[in-house]
Amino acid sequence: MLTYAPVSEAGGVGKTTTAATLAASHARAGHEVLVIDMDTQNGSLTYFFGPDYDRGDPNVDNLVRHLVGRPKGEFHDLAIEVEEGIDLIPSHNMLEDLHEFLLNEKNQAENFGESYSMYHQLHRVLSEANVRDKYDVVIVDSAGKAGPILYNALVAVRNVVIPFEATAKGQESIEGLDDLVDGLEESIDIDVGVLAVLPIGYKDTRDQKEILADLRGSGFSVPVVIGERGSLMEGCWKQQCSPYRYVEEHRSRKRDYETETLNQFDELARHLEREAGLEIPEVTA
Amino acid sequence: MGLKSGSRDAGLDDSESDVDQSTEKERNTPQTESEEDADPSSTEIKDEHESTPSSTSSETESQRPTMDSIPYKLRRDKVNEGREQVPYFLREGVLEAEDELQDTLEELLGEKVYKSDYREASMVVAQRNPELIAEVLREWGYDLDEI
Repeated sequence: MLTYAPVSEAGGVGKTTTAATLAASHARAGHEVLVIDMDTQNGSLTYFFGPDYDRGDPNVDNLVRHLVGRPKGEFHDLAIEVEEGIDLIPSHNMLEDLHEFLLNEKNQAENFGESYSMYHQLHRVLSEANVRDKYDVVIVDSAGKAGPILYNALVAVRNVVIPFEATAKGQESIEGLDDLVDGLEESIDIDVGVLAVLPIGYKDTRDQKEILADLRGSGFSVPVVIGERGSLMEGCWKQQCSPYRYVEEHRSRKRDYETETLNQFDELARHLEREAGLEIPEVTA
Repeated sequence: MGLKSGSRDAGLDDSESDVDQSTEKERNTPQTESEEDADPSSTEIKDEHESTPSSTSSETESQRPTMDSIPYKLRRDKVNEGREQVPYFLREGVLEAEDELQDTLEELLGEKVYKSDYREASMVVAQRNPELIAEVLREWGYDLDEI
């Protein structure tokens, strides 16, 4: 099973777009994909795929209810099929108060002499729901900042893909992530693996070439480098679909560089699948 | 330390994962402790002994007059020393009246009274005067035949 979260300390580097595009690539290669949206911001995966769903309705069963052990139904009933082979667990406004909810649960558990780990709840939910039986790939799009949402995501998936802007700001954000993962390892004793670093919006300037060379020298896997693809990504957000579908259905003519970008995401997706030892399905889309 | 290249197994492929086991283990240990002091009548006595370092090991050999003779308030290092936190469900009106009780007690005793202290003391009073408790419970509808 392949499980990961795209993470980045810096905002706006394409975390969500990366999650959505890779999800589509895995699905098109014949894998069953579950994407979990734990981003509290509005521009999240849930918006990206745009299912008919009200994230503000507190009465509807949602991921947070499952995380705090108060589900209203089956976990699998939370999933909405957004493209062929991709199920989405949508985000919910209750996520904003997750920290408080988890603290309450922790206090309550301690009142009854039980120990409780605030950061193992997503892992528990996924284990109990036997996601392994239904899905080959689980991708969690989480908040970028350190906190219970990100920690729950990392404990559950244990692997990260780091979308990365090849700028000084991007460099800093990798160092920031390094600290964050250190903190996580110290506080809950798990280690997190970096499956790949993904430079996005790469321009072939001298500065950026240097940063890319540094990155490759640092020992992280950098399977592909994505150039500037602003209009493709903007188009996806506008049409609320993956870039694959966007190019197929919403572009009147094929643009070579866009096809090239999709091929690169495919290459990255195959790399991730190989890392996790996923078998290549017999039927491919 | 920090970010390392490579793939990790999230333990979701196997229902008996490491994470699950460790949480289960943690969950089981404290329970045995709480079973020992399940007898409510022993709480008061036990609290007094727990807070003295020399007597924590055993509950049974606990009758030590020298330690008991020092009042709880004076020998503890912090307010809730030796106390176990238990959930307590109170209706709003009762909760609000607690403040009033606190004021009254502080007036009577001429010093600050901690909530933890008067709450536990209330329980002690109750344990010493079960007939008073029965009276309130009757007000709430217990033992209706008697009224």
